[in-house]
Amino acid sequence: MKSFELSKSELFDKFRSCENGLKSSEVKSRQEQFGKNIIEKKAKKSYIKEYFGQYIQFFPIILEVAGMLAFVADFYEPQSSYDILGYAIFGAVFINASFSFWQYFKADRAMEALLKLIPTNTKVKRDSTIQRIDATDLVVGDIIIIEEGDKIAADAVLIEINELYINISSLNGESKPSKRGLTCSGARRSIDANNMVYAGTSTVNGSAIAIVVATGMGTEFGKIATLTRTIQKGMTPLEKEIVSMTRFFTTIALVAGVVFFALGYFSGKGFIIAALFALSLIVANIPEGLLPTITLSLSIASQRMAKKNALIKNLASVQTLGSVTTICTDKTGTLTKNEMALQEIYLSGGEKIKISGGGYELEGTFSFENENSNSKEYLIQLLQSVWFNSRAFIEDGKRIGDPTELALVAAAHKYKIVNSFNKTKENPFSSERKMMSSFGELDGKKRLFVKGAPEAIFEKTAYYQDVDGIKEFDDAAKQKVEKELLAFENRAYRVLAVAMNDKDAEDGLTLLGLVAIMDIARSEVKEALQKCYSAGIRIIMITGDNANTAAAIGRDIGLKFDTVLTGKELERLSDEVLQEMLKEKTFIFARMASNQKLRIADLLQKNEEVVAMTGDGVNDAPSLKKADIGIAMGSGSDVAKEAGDMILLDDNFNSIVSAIEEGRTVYYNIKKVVTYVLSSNVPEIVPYIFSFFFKIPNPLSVIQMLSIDLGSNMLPGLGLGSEAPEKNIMKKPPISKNEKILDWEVFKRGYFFIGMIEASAAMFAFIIFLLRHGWQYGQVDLHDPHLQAQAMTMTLLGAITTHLANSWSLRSWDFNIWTLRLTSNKTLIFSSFTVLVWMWALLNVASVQKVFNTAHVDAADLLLLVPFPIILLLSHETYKYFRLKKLNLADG
Amino acid sequence: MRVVSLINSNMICETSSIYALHYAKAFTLKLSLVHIKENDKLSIIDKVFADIKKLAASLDVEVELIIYESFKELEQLILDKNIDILFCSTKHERPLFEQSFAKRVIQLGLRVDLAVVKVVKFAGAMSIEKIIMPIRGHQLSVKKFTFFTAFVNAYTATAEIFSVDEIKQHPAAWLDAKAVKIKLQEVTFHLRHYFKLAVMMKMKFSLRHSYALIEGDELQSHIARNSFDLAIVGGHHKKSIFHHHPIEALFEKPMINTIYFIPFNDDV
Repeated sequence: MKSFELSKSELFDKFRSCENGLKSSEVKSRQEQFGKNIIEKKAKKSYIKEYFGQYIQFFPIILEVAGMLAFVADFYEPQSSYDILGYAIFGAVFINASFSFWQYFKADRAMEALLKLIPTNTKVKRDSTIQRIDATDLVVGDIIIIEEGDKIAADAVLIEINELYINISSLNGESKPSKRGLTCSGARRSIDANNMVYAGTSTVNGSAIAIVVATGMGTEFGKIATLTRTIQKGMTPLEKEIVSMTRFFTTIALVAGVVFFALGYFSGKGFIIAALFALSLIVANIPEGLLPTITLSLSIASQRMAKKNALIKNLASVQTLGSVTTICTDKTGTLTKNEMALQEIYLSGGEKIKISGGGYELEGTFSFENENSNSKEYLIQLLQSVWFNSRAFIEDGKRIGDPTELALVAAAHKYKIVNSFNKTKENPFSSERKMMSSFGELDGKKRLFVKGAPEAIFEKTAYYQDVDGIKEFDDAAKQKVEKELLAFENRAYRVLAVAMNDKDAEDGLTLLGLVAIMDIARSEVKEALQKCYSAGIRIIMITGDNANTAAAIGRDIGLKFDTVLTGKELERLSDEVLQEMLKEKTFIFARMASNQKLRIADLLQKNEEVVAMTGDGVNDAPSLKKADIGIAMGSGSDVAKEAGDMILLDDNFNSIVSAIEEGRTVYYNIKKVVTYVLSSNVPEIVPYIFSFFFKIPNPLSVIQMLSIDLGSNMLPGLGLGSEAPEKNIMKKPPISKNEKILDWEVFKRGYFFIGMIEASAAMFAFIIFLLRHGWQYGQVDLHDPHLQAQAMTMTLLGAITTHLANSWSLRSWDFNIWTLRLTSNKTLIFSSFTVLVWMWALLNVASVQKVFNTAHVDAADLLLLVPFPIILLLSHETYKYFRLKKLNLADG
Repeated sequence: MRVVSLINSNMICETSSIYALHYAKAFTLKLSLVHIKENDKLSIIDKVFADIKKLAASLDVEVELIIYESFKELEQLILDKNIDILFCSTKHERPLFEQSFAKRVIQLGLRVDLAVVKVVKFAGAMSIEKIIMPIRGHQLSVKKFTFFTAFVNAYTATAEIFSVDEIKQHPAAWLDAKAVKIKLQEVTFHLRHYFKLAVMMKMKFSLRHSYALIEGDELQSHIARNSFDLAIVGGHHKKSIFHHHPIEALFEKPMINTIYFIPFNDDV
């Protein structure tokens, strides 16, 4: 026997308790035996620990060593101002660590939100007195007193009740209050027992006395908490990618540094010179600006998404959206408006009427089929009946009442019915009668209007309103109406029968007709679905509704599915079988419990799918955490919002699709940013290698390199990161989880193509400038600091100008820039302007020149910078043109 | 041979004795409820015995109550008679200087298998539908398997052996789906003799395998997701202070009733 199967006396006997409650002396012993009534929490992440952890990763450690080397060099050569470089490097470390923390750190607050559902104190009867105790002190066998509005602190079996309704949505997602009783109604599981209340639920109405049978982690709520606490998502593809990218760059930097240190040292340059050279190369190779640029790009994308009603909680998840292959979506409120609409009426005389206009809209048209001279009169009679026999009202834009009744009232408004009913009595709906009725006077006549479940109404019907008057509701008439009822039901309508009487009695009724109601699909969903299909994304509807309704809505919105699978059918399938089925077919999942969502997400992930899953209830938290992208509804519970990666402010499916589009855009934008940052490394590295192997003066100082990485590069990089979606973005298949941002194409374009042009520009400007000012090859020391500063300024400007051109050319990965609107990327326009101002400052502002070793250069010399940006633009555009042509040919 | 279950006035003893009763039923052994006199009210002990006796009658198990004055007598009982296994329960929270009975038995090195029960749901032993036995990789001893099958048999429950392996990096499902399959095949191969035995005994087990970053979390998540009623956890007489077994950790903060099985010979 399970505890909910025991009678009151058996419960007292078994749990060694009684009407007067436990004795205080017994409570402590029980707490020791069963533990306190506490839900286990996860240890909180320490912000400080997490932040400082960013400083002891591979990438920052290398820079920190480089920074320290700079200070050592400054100690030996104070005149070279290596201390500024040291500060700059540590500044770069600080910036990177801060941005890294911003991007990665995600406080998991789902558990905290969950625990808010447990009350801090509760009312119990102990030692024959009612007392309020700390909820954590509750033990099995305690007698708890439950009152309206109370949160419940433990699982308990009811022993006395008074019209008790509880909100059990935290455990099963059921939003309607659940009426409780004193028997378990044949339940096999504790969660299904009607005579139980549960921790984490709350009382909506009534009061009760119950005996505690489970506390803490042993409660049903404990299961949800365990799942919420233990499910971990791990790193997003972007996070993994960034880790591997930084490792890659740092390793290259380190290897290059070591190699060139050895070369320098053994070629007799001396330890300090060789070490400083190695340091310069390390700084040149490490893309210090990469992480801040990516983080800021993600941040800009998340702001853009927020404008489209998708609130991103974890920046790195933005890019995961681009990889989504399957969206598991709720139906109600997401695919549909969660707005019931009276769409069809069947008058018992045989007329059929279709109604247009939204569910609660007050304007619409009525199209008759089989219309006769009395049809309109009978329709008015039916609409009067449904309106006057309802509690809902629509007035001045306000809608108050049950969604079904609102749909009926709206339909009456659409037909311009005037309310002239003087209601004197109402018999509310009850689950026993399955109908509701209102009695009163209409135009001087006594009228009882009735609506309810067709089978219940038919039982009480004696007559029906035929075309030419009231007739007896005989078997033939009944069969005729039942046929229509079946047709409506097959199309997943919710159907109500409408009847009336001229006396206050719910029998001997005259049937007026049937009304067919449905939650209408969102108008924009069809288009959004097509967008998903062309983007190679599968949509799976998961709903608590019945199979017929789910399938009908699915068909209506153009959802592609093979079959409908119910929760019960799902239970019978093993994981292995279901996993295979999910590979081969697309389902609508109907009558699903929330915990089944977790299983579906898990199995889809095992099929290598990237899953976006919607949810709103407390019990959806585990599946939201499990999915690659958990999408919580804006109207949902706080727990779901905390557990999700994204919050859908308008609950609208279309917003998910927009977010995916943004996710894909972000992926390609980051690819562009990485290419952009990579290419900027080349004009930093090449001059150093040249100065090592050839007899030329130093073309670029380390501080100038940092000015590129963390200065002139950053803003255009952000501009690229905020580029709008490319036109074919939702025509491509989802980005594979295994697809790397730093692939060969990025490497090729960044290092070997664009980077080389930029390096050529820098070296061309440097060498030609020197030659024009009397320098001869082999003269390593210029003996003129001003000329040296001017030459280095030319190298720097050569790199910056070509890089600026690069930022414009990289606006599109595939298409030529003339296919884009010039003014569509305002961030890039602004950042280009800022870079131009920065260049002016490098040439003209003394304080800037002092820090960055630059000097004024005449306009005639500056003309040397002009050809290379043009060459870069033309060659990259030509490359893109031929590449796209090749790709198109390959795609056929 | 007999099964011994220790009882006192604590409710959790009643639960552990019901498990002992079912274990005894599986092997048609006699159950001795042993009470060592301390401060407990004997009326409660009599009541517990009466309840267990009633249940034992329905399960056709012979049961007796033995009351001892001291722990020494129990030691003697273990030494003198053929005791198959000793069941006892353990508290979630223990006063600082109170030593658990299980620890005393382990410290004395008594020649008996030990089943320590941690009770989360008091009424949980009455009816069991799903039992889980987590193991690491394919590490499963005959003793533990036998202990596990006793409950599966006695409760006619569905049973699952959940094999878990720790990995250093987060299991990217899309990457290791294949690896999981291969690992499952490997575990199945190693456990094939147990499955043959199960077939002979007309019992049905399912086997699952999972890679986990944090094994304890993975196990708890699996238990919560699949609504198990009882977990059987294998333990050791001697624990290393340097290594805390993650499956044993499951016993520390259980979310379902859990039996910690410690066979006498530490060869699990």
